[in-house]
Amino acid sequence: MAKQSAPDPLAHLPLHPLEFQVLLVLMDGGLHGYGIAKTIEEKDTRLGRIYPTNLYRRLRDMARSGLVSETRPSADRNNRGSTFEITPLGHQVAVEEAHRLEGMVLDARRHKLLVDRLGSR
Amino acid sequence: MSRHRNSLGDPLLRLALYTLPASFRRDYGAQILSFHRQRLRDADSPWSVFAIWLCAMIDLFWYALMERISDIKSITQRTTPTYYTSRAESPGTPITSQASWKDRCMNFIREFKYAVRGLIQTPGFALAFVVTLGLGIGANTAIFSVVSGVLLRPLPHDGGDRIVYLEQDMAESALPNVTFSVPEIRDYRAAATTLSGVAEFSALTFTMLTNDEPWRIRSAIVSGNYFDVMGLDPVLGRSMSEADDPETASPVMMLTYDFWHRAFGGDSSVVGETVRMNGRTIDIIGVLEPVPDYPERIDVFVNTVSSPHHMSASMGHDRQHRMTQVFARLAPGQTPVSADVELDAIAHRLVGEYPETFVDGAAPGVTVTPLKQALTSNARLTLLVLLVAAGFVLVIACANVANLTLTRGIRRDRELTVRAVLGARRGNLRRLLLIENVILSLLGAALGLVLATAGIGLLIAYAARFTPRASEIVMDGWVLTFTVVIAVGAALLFAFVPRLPDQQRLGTATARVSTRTTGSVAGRRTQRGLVIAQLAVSFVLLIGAGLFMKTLINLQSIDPGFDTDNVLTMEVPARGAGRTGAQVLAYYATLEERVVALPGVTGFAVASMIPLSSTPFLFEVGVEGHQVEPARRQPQANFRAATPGYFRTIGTPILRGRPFDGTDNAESAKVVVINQTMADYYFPTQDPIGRRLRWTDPQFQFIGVGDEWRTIVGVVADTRDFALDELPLHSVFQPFAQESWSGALLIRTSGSPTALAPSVVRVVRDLNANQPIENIKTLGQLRAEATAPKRLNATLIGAFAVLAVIIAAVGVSSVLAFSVSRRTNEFGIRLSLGADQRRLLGMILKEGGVLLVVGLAIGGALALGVSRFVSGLLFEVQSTDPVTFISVGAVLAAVAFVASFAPAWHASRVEPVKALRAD
Repeated sequence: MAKQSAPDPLAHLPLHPLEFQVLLVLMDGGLHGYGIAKTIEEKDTRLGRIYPTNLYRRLRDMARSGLVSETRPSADRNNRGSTFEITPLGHQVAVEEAHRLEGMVLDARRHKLLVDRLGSR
Repeated sequence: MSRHRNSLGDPLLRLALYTLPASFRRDYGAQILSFHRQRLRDADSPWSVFAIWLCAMIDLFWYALMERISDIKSITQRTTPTYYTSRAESPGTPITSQASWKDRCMNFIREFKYAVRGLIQTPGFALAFVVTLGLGIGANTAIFSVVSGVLLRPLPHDGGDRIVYLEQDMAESALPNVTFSVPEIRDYRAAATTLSGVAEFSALTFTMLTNDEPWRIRSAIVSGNYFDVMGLDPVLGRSMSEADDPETASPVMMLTYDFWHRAFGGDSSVVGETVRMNGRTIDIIGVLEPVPDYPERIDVFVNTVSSPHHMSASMGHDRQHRMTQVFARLAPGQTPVSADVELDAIAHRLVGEYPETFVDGAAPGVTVTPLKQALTSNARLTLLVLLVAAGFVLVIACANVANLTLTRGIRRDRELTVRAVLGARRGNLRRLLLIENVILSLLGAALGLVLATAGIGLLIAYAARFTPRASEIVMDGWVLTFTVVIAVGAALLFAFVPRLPDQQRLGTATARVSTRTTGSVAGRRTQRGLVIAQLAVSFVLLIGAGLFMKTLINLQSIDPGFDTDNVLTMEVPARGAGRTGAQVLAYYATLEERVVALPGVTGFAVASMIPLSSTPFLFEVGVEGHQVEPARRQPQANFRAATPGYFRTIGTPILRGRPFDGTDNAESAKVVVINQTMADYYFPTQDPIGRRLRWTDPQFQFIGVGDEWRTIVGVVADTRDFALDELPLHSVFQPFAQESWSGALLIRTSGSPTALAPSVVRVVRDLNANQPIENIKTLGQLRAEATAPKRLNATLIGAFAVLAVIIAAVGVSSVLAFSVSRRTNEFGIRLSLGADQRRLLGMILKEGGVLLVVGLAIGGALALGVSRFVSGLLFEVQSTDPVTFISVGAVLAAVAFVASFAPAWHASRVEPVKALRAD
């Protein structure tokens, strides 16, 4: 996880659900940690409440892997926290993850999991 | 609101941040905090504030743990880039690719298995390691559990560190703690700003009736604020409060936890029941939580109105009616020292206001002692001595185990070198040793825990002789932690004892091990050093044991002044149960008639106190013709009452004059018998018979003893009444018949006194079924109890010393045996060149002798240094007693000689041809 950024997006798969959500949220623009958490929670992703240590740990790892970039605040506004933005690699990885999930969803559909579920509603 | 929320959770969360690795904390700590604050701002109820805070803490702790684990992973990946693969059969085989975390676990399991297999192959070493360390750890765990329970653990009282016990020391008084009078306490309470609460406590023995069953109980009469001041809560019912203080309050009682179980079987319906005491009906309002008794054992607490004595006018107003002890709570920010200073100033003011109530107008010193210190002062020295002794045993055990490890290390030099040649790094080899040692040390710790658990009951009984806190001794998490820390510490230590093959010189090392396994000079020196340390420390312990043994012998050889064989004693208090003085006398007279009629009874007496089981009852006394120097306090004497048969029954000789007889009764002239110490003090050259004395103590007006002159009719030999190691006090005996007193029976028997006890109890019960009988013991038992603490000291330190000497002897023997086995080849050469066996024997014995002499010299110097710390526990023996030093040195020398002899004998029996072939 603490590896140098690899050019191959597939090397980062599968993504942790939280990491995937972070990438999705950041596609709409850069945000602070709390902003990211609030946006994910509002989307009802069933990830539950997001707590700071876990989130910053993920963000740090994603920054190290080159999926996001972290902009530290200037010294005089130190209490505002870093702004995180998605990188091109992050974008590619999100696309690959979405494809991976789509493949899984198709497979699930082939097993009629989603039909059953929808039918029961 | 949000500020309030932050102020609650912030510091805790900020503190918890420190569980994170420093780099992560530096980068994200502030952001985590700010995230948390923003989240709190969105919270809509106190419950969600709490939930957010709790979840944030859990989140923080959990991911801090994850961070730490990944840190360790990355460090191990960095420091051991190559390691053995899963294909490798045994540790030490190098691999080329980077091993995964899982591989590492597998490797650890394999190393573990390998270590266990290695240990199973050397069961002697493993057993010696575990047993030696187990004994050392067991001794330390047991003693530490006592030290932890008695000295380290906070008091069960709420805010126990702020509770203090006050003592008033009168100048020139024989008794340092003369207690306080109620008016004095009132003054201190009103004036002291360093104390937030001042509570009264005085103990008296009462007879309590529950459903017609009599209980002789030690009752504490306390002010209502006592439980507040002491920080004590009831486990059942309610505590007393200041509402129970006024004269109009109804009498109430609180049971101590122990007495509740003893008398009521822990029945929770006891609250609300009533008992009869002092002719009154008293309500039981609660049961107190379990707490150590101080200053004495107490069965029940009652309010002031429950004690007729405390309701007397003099108790409330007489400034010299000093019988109340005082506990206080320090005000916030105050210390015992600041309280001491203030109370001394108040004492000076009181002397100015009421000079007539102080002896010679001298100001008393008020001593403020923290309760914890008061509770443990007697035990502190003994326990610290024991802790040091147990520590010595551990040092010896560790030295021995280190020696064993060293020996084994030399023997497996070849194995380790081969591994190193095959590519195992020093770290890998060290880890292998560490795993072996951790396994053995933890087994040793387990054995130690078993031993300590087995001995803890005995130790609690032992500690109970020194401190009321003994009941709090348990094997808890602290003790367990202590044991594990010792074990792991020992394992780390031992893993670094053996030298590892030098990576740079592997070539020579391989050549060396291929021919012969030899220990290095440095290794041998270390071994010898360890044996010398063992001998030195054993010597110190043996000297301690010798000094305590001598103390015990000195105590046991003391003539207490009475014959302790065949005397049965029991307390049968008759006064106070509604009887008049005459009725009390008649009661004891009838009892005497009936007891004397029992077969096997050869003597009978009633006395106000039993030797070796009472506390001094000291009062001021004036002797005719004896002037007290100005500015000196009136001398005191111990007040005692006895029937005529007393001296004959306990076997104390009358030195002059006569004992009491039937003619000394309430109508006849008042007479007394004094002891020799008192006679020698007042009448060094004259005959005391016919001289007169009288009680001048103001206290006597409160207990109904007159201050008229009494004629001395006899002098008896001194007796050691309170402790065998205390010099006799001045004692004045007066006839039981002249002033009736509550008493104890002393019965001399021709056969076993214990066998007679049931018959005497039956006689007493026949006469009055409700009569309390207590403390049925023989004088022999009382004497044994009086020496018990010293006997226990001697036994415990003696046991440690024996343990130490055995371990040291094994150490000496094994080091010499090892040395002999290494030098078999050398002996062969010597023998073949013409050395005789005797010479070889002498050579090895000399080797042992050098170790012994150096060990004794170091141990002797150490013992001279430390033995003076135990002088407070000794009796009639100097801490540097030369006889003890020399005889203990001789014992150790003899043991070392025997330990050296077997290997020396073995060396001298070597056959030259075989020896020369020896590898």
